Parts: sequence; structure tokens; C-alpha cells
Amino acid sequence: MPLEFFRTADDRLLFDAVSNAFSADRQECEPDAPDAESRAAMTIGRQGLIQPVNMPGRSAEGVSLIEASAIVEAAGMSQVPFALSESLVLVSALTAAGTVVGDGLLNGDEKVGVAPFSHVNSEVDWVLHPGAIDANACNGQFKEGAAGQKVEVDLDLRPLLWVLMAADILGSAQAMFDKSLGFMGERHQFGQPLSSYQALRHRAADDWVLLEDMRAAIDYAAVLFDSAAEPGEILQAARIAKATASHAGPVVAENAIQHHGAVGFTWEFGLHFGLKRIKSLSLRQGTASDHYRLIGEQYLADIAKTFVNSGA
Amino acid sequence: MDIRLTPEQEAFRDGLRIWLSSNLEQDWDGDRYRGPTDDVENFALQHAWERKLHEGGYGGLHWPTAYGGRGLGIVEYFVLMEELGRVAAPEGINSIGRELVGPIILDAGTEAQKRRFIPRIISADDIWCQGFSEPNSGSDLASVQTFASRTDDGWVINGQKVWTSYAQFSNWCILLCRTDRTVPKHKGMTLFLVPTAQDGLEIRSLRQITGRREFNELFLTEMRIPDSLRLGPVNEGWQVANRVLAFERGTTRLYRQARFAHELRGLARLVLSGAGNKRADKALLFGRLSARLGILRQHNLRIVSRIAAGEAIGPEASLQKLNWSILHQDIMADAGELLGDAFLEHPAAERFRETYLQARAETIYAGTSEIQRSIIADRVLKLPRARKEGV
Ligand SMILES: Cc1cc2nc3c(=O)[nH]c(=O)nc-3n(C[C@H](O)[C@H](O)[C@H](O)COP(=O)(O)OP(=O)(O)OC[C@H]3O[C@@H](n4cnc5c(N)ncnc54)[C@H](O)[C@@H]3O)c2cc1C
Repeated sequence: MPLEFFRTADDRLLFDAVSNAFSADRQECEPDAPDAESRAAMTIGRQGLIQPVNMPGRSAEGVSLIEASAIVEAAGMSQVPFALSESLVLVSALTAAGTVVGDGLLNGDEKVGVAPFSHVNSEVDWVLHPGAIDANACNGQFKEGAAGQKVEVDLDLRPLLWVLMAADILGSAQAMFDKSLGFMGERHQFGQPLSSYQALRHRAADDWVLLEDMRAAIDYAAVLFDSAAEPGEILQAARIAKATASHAGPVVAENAIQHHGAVGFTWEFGLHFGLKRIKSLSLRQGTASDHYRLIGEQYLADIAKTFVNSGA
Repeated sequence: MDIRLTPEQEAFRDGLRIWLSSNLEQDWDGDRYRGPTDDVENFALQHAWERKLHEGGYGGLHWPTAYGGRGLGIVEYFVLMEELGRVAAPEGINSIGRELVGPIILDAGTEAQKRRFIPRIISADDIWCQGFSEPNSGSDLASVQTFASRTDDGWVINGQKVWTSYAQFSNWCILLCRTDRTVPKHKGMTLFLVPTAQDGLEIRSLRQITGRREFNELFLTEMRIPDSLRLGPVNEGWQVANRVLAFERGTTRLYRQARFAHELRGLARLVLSGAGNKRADKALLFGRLSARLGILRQHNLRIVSRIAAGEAIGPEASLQKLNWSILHQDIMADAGELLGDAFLEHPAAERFRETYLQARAETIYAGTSEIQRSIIADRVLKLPRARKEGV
């Protein structure tokens, strides 16, 4: 097997198919339409996109995390107003625990939230408790809202959740970036397209680098997850993906608004949907600096160990 | 996706680790890894290391066996680079020969040129320098004025080059010259391979902000060379150089990521030994830097696996040039934050003081950061420009 750290033709096909499915339903699921969420859920259910992700070292009947992150990235790109990552994590956990997954979850009728959400109990059918972000390892729990039944699984659900959240940030940020490139090409000021101004060209280049950084970090964590690498290594890579996306996502999103001028500040133009989605994903489950600090603590602890060993 | 090495590649890596542990000086670490401050001593050390690598069988790893290479793949080359970086092995003095001249000759040289030059680059018998930049041609490299005019049996060259690294230690130079002033600037340049110990070429070294003398001025006065030392077709020097550079920019100095990781570990040891600035937010700074180093490696993995799959690397390579040069500066800036006074005073912080200065050059040479951003905006994002020409 040759070294292959890029998306294959199959991976791209999947991403395109999912993107197309979402954009076909685009008109139906404008994010601020009153029934947006249930329409989005219908699209997702129809496409059979809620499937278990194969947990490291467990049976492999579902999708890989590489595939799941492509699906979630496509959902972010189309601003699908549905908590897809959360559903994927829950379905993966149930499947790995050998529990039957009901149709309600698979077709998107039952909603999943992650604790601690303030509104979690009233609006969702399931609550996911992935555990404290700063633990080295922890088992997941989930609770069915109505029945109040609590199930504990012998699995660390955090890496899966963080990588998927990062993929959602990436897709959402990519969509805002693409809009802003398009706008820069069309809008003229001082007799020239905005895209001719170097300040904007260079900021766009920097934003593109940030998007590629996110992509690399997500793919790397996902490929470690899919090849059942050592759990500590997977956790650290997932932290890097979440930290990178939490940092870079809002930068790209905020720049997209800046590049649009006042029109970007209007409700109707809609950039705020992406911004809000990215901002909340970036703050939940640990902010960028929360994760950077945890990465740093682990890094320093590892160095301290070699220190003692070598007596240096 | 798969990022595991094959058993053969792992065996290659293990053999290399053993070779390194017995061939690199035992105390090659910490303060010494930038090489002696005396320029002549440093040259001798760097050159000896390059010869040693060749004797160990690690020269010309991914070059054709017909010209003395080992004929291995890009992945083995990547493994070699990572392992060298991991122990902060000497960077060598002939990177221009190995990473620029060799690939251009292999791509565009005549058979005679390949046989003559490639084996001697691999064995470090020839040291090369790059005479591209001029006093009035930096980022706008295509404006070079050094002129080569035709004679009956060859060429006569007049002009001036500057910032030519290691010219004083090189015996050959790859020279970018104008050969036609009547055509648009990109279409009138030619590449030449010139011996440095030759009448008509004067070299004066320049002192850098680190105190070292690595780069030079070159004065070319009526320098005569035969036509057999022309590289590639007349007036196509720009195209020849760029075809290779686009590919090479992605694979040049693949060892850097691992070398920076070595530096960060050294910094962490110094901080953990109690030398640090007590108020610094250690976990945050180390966490951010190590995360960014991880991403830098992932981009390397991506480029290497794309090349291994036969894909072409284009302007995306600018991403890596931007990333590594900026990250290196940020590591050194954070070294200041983490060490405080010790950054200025502690004997063990000498490596960070010097690297802090050296890293200033890294966002300037091989295309400044501004030029890399322009390349991305033009060729990756294809952002429409106005009527005005320029970068
Ligand atoms: C340590 C070191 C070693 C070197 N070794 C070699 C060598 O061996 N051989 C060789 O040929 N050259 C070498 N160089 C030269 C190097 O390639 C040039 O320094 C580089 O191309 C920049 O050119 P310049 O220094 O003339 O800066 P300039 O091009 O004058 O640029 C000055 C500043 O203006 C910015 N700028 C320029 N044009 C634009 C633009 N269009 N838009 C926005 N900003 C712009 C630049 O980014 C930079 O910040 C070396 C340089 C250094 C520092």
C-alpha cells in the first residue's frame, strides 16, 4: 500500500454526491425558514446519510471517518441546518455497543444534542455526554430525552465528535470563502475589481492557507482514527483538528464579511448564518486555546519523561 | 487514505537510524547544531558531512542509477529528510547543487552534462551556488540585466549578481543571464553553468545579521565560457528554471519540519529545566507551536504522497514555503516569550538567539512571503486582476 494522504477519486465522488444532494434541496432549507430543520432532516434521511462510523478496532459495517467527515463538510458547505455530527456520533456509539438503532434516529426525526447545551433537554430527543474535554480518556454516555434512559458505552466519543465538528467548520468556512472570492471578482471600486487590490488578494491567500491547514489536520486525525492508531495519538490529532478549526474557521468567516463590505452585514445576504454556525462550533467542546493548552500540557509531559530517562 | 510506510520503507528507516547514531558526532545537539561560527570551519564541517552521507549510500537517493543515484522513490527521500531533521544533522553546504541544479540538469541538460555533473553533485565533489538575484532584480527576477552575448565559440558574460550564498566555497555557479533584450523579459533569458575559479569572475563576501559571511557579490567582467556550458535552449532559461522550481518548491528542505520539532524539544527542555520566564503561558505556547508543526508535517505528507502517485505539484507548494518560514519565526518569537531574560543571557539559549536572526531570512529568500501570497492569489485562486501589470 503506497503512502496516500489525499482524497481519492472515490472520496471526492462521495463529497460531490452529498454536496449535490444538499444543494438540490437548497431552496427548501433556507436556514431561517420556520421549518428549516425538519426539511433538512428529511433530505438527510432520504439520502441515508446518518450511518454509523466505524470505531477504531471495532467491526466495520459503517463508513470510515474520512467518509463521514466528507459528508459533514458537505453539510457545512451547504449550511444544512441539522446537527448531523451529533447524530453520526450517537448512531456510531449505539452500533458499536451492539444496540439496535431505531429508524427515528436514522431518518433524522429524532434530534441529538451534546451536553452541556442550555436548551438541550427541551429541544432534543437524545443527549450525548462525551465527557470532559481535558481528560486523557473517557467513556461516552447518552440519554434518551423522553424516556430518560441512560446508556454508557466503553468508547471515547470525543475524537469522533471533534473531527466532525472541525469538518463542519471547514465546509462552512470554505463556502464563505468561495462567496467572498466571487464577490471580489464582481464588485468594482475605484474602477477596478476588488480582486485587483493586493491587500485583499493577500488576505485571500492567507485564508486559503488556513482552509488547507484545517483540511490537513482533519484528514490526518481521521486517517489515524480509521487505521486504529494508538488512542492517545488519535486524541492528540483530534485535538489539533478541533483547535485548528476553532482558530481558523472564525478568521476566514470574519474576513469573508469584511470583504463584502456593508452588504455582508445585512441579514438578507445571509453570511451571518455561516458566521454563527462556525462561531458556535468553534466555542463548543473546547475553544481553540483550551485545546492548544491541553496539547501543550501533553507535549510538555512527554518531554519531561524523556528528560528523566536521559537524566539530562 | 493510508499513511503507513511499507515494510521495505520501514527497514530503510531503521537502517538509517542506526547509521546516523554511529556517524553523527555524539554531542551533536544543543548549542552545536548550527555549526561552528567560524565560516571556514563551518564549511569544512558541512562539506565533510555531505561526503559522509554519500559514502554511507545516502547521496542521490531518488536520482537515476545511470548517473550515480540510488534510483529510490520520493518516499524514501522523505524518510531520509525526516530522519536527518529529527537529529538536526548538518544541513550541508551544497543544497543548491542537490535541490536546484541537479534537478534542472536532469530535466533539461544534455546527456554529456548529466554524465559530467550529476555524479559529482551526489558525491559532493562539486559545490554549487545560484547566481540569479541582482542589485536591481530581486522579487522581479525576470528583470535580470547580466548579459551573455554570443561569440564564435561560446559566450561572453558581463554583469553583477548579489546575495549568492556560499559562492566563496563553490566551484560552480548556475547563472541566469539575459541573452536577448529585444523580446519580452520572460522570453530573453538563458541559464549557464559556470566555473567560479575563472578569469572575469570576482567574488566578495557580505556579512549577514547573524555575523556569518554566507552570501556574496559576484562581479562578471568579460567572462568567457564555451557553449557546452549553456543549460537548456537559448532564451528559454526562465521556462526551464520554472518548470523544475514548481516541482522542487514542494520537496525542497523536507527536513525542516523535523528540524524545527527538534528545536522546539530543545526549547521545552530548557524551559522545563527552570530557565524560563515564570509568567509565560507555557502550555498554550507549546501547544500551539506543536500543533502547527504537526500540520506542517501533514502538508509534507500530502505533497510527498501526491508526487508518489505521479501527480504534479504546482503553485500549491507556495503554501509550504509560507507556512514553514512563518512558523519558524513564530517558534523563535515564542522562545523569547518563554525564556524572557534567559533568551538574551542564558548560554544554552545561544541557538535560539542565532536562529531568531537566521529565521528573518527565511521569509525573504526563495520568494518572499508577499510573492508567495501573490502566487497563490494568481495561480491557485485565480483572482481576476486589473489592467495593470505586475506581481
Ligand atoms: C540569506 C539569503 C540568501 C540568499 N541566497 C541567494 C542565492 O544564493 N542566490 C540568489 O540568486 N539569491 C539569493 N538570495 C536573494 C533572494 O532571492 C532575494 O532576496 C529575494 O528574491 C527578494 O529580493 P530582494 O531582496 O531584492 O527584495 P525586493 O524584491 O526588493 O523586496 C523588498 C520587499 O518588498 C516586497 N515586494 C517586492 N515586490 C513586491 C510586490 N510585487 N508586491 C508586494 N510586495 C513586494 C518583498 O516581499 C520584500 O518584503 C538570498 C537572500 C537571502 C536573504
